[in-house]
Amino acid sequence: MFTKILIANRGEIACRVIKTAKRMGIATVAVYSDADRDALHVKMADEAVHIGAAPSSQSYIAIGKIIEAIRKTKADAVHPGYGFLSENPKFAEALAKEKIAFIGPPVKAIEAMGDKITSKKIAADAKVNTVPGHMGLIEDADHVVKTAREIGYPVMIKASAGGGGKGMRIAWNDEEARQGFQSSKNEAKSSFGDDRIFIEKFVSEPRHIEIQVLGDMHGNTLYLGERECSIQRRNQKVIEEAPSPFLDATTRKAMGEQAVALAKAVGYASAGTVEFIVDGARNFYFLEMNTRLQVEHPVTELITGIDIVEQMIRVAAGEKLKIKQSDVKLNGWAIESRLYAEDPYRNFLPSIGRLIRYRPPAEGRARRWLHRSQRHRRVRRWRNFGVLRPDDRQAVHVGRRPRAGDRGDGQSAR
Amino acid sequence: MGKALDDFEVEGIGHNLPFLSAVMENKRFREGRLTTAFIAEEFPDGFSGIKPTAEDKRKLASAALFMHLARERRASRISGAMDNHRRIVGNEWIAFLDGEAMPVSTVGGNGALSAQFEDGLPLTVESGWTPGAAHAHFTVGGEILGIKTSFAGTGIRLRWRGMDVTAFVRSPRVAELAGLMPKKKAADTSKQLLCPMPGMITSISVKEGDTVEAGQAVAIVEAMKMENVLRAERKAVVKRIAAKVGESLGVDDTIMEFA
Repeated sequence: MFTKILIANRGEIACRVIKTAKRMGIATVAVYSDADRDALHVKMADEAVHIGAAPSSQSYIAIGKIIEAIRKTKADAVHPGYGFLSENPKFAEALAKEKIAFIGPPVKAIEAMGDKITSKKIAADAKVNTVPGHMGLIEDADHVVKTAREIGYPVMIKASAGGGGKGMRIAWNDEEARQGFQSSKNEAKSSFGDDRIFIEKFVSEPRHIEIQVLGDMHGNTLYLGERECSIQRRNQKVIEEAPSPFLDATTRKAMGEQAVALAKAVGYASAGTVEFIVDGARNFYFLEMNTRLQVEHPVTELITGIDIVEQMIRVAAGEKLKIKQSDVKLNGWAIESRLYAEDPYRNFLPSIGRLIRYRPPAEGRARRWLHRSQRHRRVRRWRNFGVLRPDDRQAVHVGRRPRAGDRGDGQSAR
Repeated sequence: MGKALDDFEVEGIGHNLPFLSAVMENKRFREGRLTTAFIAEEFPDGFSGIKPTAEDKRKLASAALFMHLARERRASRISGAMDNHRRIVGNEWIAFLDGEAMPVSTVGGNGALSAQFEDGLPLTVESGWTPGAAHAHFTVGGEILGIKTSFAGTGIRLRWRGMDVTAFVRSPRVAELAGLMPKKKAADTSKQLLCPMPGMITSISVKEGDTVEAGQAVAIVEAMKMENVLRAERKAVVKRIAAKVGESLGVDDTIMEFA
């Protein structure tokens, strides 16, 4: 087992990893930029290393600076959290050169799943259901219209390197397809430096349901049930829950098994998420695989009782998974709400300002983290989320979500 | 979850807590009939807060009464007053909430009061709220409400379950006089394009003197790494362009004016 882990991230995910590492008796190292000098993760870690200026390009995603911090502190493993370097194969390679363990999947799996077109091909080969679409890149506006007509409107135009809703457009007709192609291309170029575009069928009554998978280096792979993340705005998740109120045991098993098949196809070892789009008739299609820990992983932890970060650490240290598929039991219901710094009354526009009060609900009823400590004055793009274990009125004990007909305050008859 | 959100206080920046509360209360969400278009379908015109029902209004008015009485009683105990001449706080009130005037009489008031609305049974309110508290639990008719409280002028602002209302509790005479006050009109900004969010102007696609059609893209603001296309709401002629490409603007800064 590792003796010291460096967390190449900040905010709530850094705190999250530190908590588990502490519990496992592993020392922790935080890294911080100028902006996060007083942040909570810096205080929580056993050691902290300053890695540069506030822009993340000069700190959290500067591979050289992270490697330097690792050398300085003699950490023997790195947890990348989510975002930043978590899905950057170059970072994983750089660590391998230094003989430092990367607490995440193998480089090859990151590379294979990092590209939407490659990942779809691998999925199709592994007999995973995929959305009908054009297996290839779209060259120009005429090509987009031609392909869209072949697939049939509505279609979804996506950036190959895309993520987080950037470079993604839905088109219902030729004109929208042309426009969407251009804006997707522009956004993809400025956000990812990669303007390759592809197109697929837009599924009706779609739900976003994802499967949490967990694999080790000894060929064991299992799924920890699903998370329903359908409540989204501009393709950004707002509310996530587990289990999904829509899946039946058969569909869950089928999705889980396909997710495991895909993970095995790329030799996946670590925690990962296979995202599916599910239509009104419970047909499901593979969307993409996230080769990292996800923001919403705690809802799965709450209902399975499995600490996913602990499993990631153990797998990276070469241990075999002790959990078998038959041990994974879903118990209760958990919902996560993401708290965004946006103004819902002004069409959810981003909101900037000075945080003057932050009081989360009482501990015990809710589990939450603070992205930045309250002392931070100007907060830009502040985002936090709370994993709120549904309080007693919610379904955790009863095993169901409140329905219409429960008491007006949502209190379920216990 | 709804209760946890009620008890979650974040101030100083805009945030989506009221919206999250609204989703938790949403019937379709509770029934689990979700799709990725849930928000667009359930909130087609955006989100403007939850409208309180008649019952909610009564609960919130009761909480406002509790707060108003606690404040008035405390104010009447100011030091240096003449012996035996304490101001007596009345027990007949008119609570204004969401455009409705509710006459109500009260009994008690320290830690617990009973509010008798014109029709219906009395509602009892108990709370540990004290002046200055930004959040408190109010037990109204046996139900515990976690309400965020603040004062807005003479109004009492209450936020609960995605509702955001300002209540006024007035004595009958003050209520009569308040009715005579002129109402302030909002400024007319219909002929201006205001920057909807803090961000940078990356493109302006029209010139002064151009005629724009409804729906035509006139400018692009980049914020949070996303391009936001601003479109004309109706046909108009561009009178003046106030912003330059590359300029960083704040909320409600003028980008252009229309004739």
